[in-house]
Amino acid sequence: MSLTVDRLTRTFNGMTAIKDIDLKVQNGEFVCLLGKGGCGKSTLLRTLSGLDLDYEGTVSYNATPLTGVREEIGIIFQESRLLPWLTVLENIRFGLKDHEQETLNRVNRFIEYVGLTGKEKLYPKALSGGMSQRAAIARSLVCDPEVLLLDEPFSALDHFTKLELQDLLLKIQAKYNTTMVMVTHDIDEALYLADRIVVLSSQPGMIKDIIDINSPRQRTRTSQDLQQVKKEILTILHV
Amino acid sequence: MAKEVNQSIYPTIQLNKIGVTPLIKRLMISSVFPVIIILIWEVLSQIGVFESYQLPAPSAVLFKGIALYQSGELLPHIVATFTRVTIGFVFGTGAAVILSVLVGFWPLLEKFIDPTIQALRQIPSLAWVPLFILWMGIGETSKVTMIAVGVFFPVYLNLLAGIVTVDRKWLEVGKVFGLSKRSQITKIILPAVLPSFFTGIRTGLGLGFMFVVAAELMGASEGLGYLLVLGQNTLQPDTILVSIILFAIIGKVTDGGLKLVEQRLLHWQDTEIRGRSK
Repeated sequence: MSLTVDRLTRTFNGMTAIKDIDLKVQNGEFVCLLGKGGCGKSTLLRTLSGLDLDYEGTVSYNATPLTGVREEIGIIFQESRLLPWLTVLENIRFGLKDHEQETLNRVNRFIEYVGLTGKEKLYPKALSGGMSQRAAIARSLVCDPEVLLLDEPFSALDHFTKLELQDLLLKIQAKYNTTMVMVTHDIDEALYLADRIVVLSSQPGMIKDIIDINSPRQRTRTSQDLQQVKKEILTILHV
Repeated sequence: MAKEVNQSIYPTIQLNKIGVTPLIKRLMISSVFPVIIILIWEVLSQIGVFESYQLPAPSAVLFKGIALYQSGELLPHIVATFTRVTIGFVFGTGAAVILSVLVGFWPLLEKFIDPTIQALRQIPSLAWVPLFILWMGIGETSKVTMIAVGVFFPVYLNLLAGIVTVDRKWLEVGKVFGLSKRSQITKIILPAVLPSFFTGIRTGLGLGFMFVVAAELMGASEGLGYLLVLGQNTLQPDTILVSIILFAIIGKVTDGGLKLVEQRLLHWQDTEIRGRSK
């Protein structure tokens, strides 16, 4: 798997949202796109997903230009976007084409994996934000994506739920070697999760710096090393 | 939790202690007001505040209703009116569904047809009456057509609004999971527009009853609207009131039926209905 962005520029009605982005995401890597609100990081993620094709430059998946959404690329939005008229179970198997026993077993395995056992028959209105986002993650995972794009997936959740779900992502990545690209404005989140942090400037969004986090997995959120990097990033962002 | 809240709102009414279901409890609470009104009306009629040739007492209206029923006159009137509304409703809804789906899914057709429909909508539907009578005579066809026209507009407008405003966020979910155009429609758009559809048909049904009265007033030999004309011509306000009350009852019951279906199908909606535990 490789995801390559080459001189990507996206304008909306003459306003440049992102400009000259070059980025190569390696297989199994966890990349965080970090920047202030309105810096075009979500725009960048949408072009990677194939939902937005109105850009200049190229986005290639396995060396072929992206022409639309692909099965191999899953996306998790800021809101869970569960369909309110389907139960948790129906939502999670939404992307699956067949309903054979093997598939259903797979669905059940993921329901258990994200910790939603017992909630299968509930409708989204009965779920908390964290549970909804777990269901959304399971919905993507059952389709076996190679890349998971995450657009500020935990920004609407309370702090503790957020920490739990961050660990869930790491667990998923370790088990399935899923490549992850996550948009976030939370530096601590990026420091805890990322192998590489892409720092974006605002208006237009351009890559300011790319920081490799070499600290091994099972990071301690408050470690000295990470705090040092945090200072660095804050300086880059002029905060 | 919900029960406690309920009790604190209505501290003096604790009917559930004597084994009354919530439905019956609701019915009892909601009938207090009309019962009081009817009692006052009855008393005022009995002591002669209202002249009986203008506003007869509720009891007189009730006896008139029973008399009409026993003579076998009443039921055919009810059936006639109900049948007209049903047929008109089905045709009006059918046409509205077909057109709004076509217009909703074909932007070109929207530009082509929708402005005309929007213009036609501005014509008060009753203005069609003389034309329809001229075209179709005074029989059933013109009546049912009128009702269908009345039902058509609210269903068309609500459904179309529902189709063109389906949340982009949900459509994107369909895209992300590679749904075909057909699956997009059946799995996302249809369920998403169901709430607007129900708003449309419930308004439509209400208008259907309005138009059946108009249709029957302009010339009919049976139906509740005919009963209104009969009461007017024979100076019998009790007959008129029987008809009016029957309209209220039939309207309420049919709307209640639609509401029940709506609640069944839309139970997933995240709306809090006040005073009712989920």
